[in-house]
Amino acid sequence: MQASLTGLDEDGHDSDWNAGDLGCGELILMLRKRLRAMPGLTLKLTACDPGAIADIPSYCRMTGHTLLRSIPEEGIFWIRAKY
Amino acid sequence: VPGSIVVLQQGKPSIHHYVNTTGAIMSGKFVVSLTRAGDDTDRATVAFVVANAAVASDKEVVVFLNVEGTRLSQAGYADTIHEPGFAPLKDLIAGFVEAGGKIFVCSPCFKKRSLDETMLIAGATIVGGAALVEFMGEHCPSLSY
Repeated sequence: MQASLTGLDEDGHDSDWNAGDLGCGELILMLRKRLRAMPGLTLKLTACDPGAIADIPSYCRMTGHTLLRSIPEEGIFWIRAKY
Repeated sequence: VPGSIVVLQQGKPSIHHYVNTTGAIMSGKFVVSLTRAGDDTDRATVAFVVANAAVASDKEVVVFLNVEGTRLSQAGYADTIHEPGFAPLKDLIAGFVEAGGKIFVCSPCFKKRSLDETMLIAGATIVGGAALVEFMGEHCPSLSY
């Protein structure tokens, strides 16, 4: 993970993570670890698992991380980690 | 509704809670977990019979298709399943969805079986665990078949 404290890059995120085809509990658990390591910063997540479209918004609503925007059909999510 | 509590979320009544006869708060939600399909047509059928009873009782109902149950998410799969004494499974599923029931399909189970996203039946959504956990929230009764 390449979290930066210097600000957002041109795509509006501090760090990015391609989770590939990880899904369900594996995806959420690894996402949790990454977000906890970057409070207040924005992660661009790419997840091609079809369940991620429903899961990522649910996860954010439950945990207090902020889903800033997403392109569901491409499996891309911008998430600001809670403090 | 006597005994009901309407919870306001962002100013809108969105979740109905009920106090049952034991004083426990119930969410008004109901989950039926189904792990069987053609390998146990009896369980698959009864799961949707119960789900229909729940949705007819004004519950917000999700049937969670997981393990072998994910095969029921494919259009046409249930067409030949008709347990004696019950309605055909395809009719039970269609009635459930028409009444407002939702079908969650376990994503890793779906992928393991190389099922087809383009063949999902009406009302079915592929989800991972987080969506199910969010739906169930607190005080959500569930049954497993």
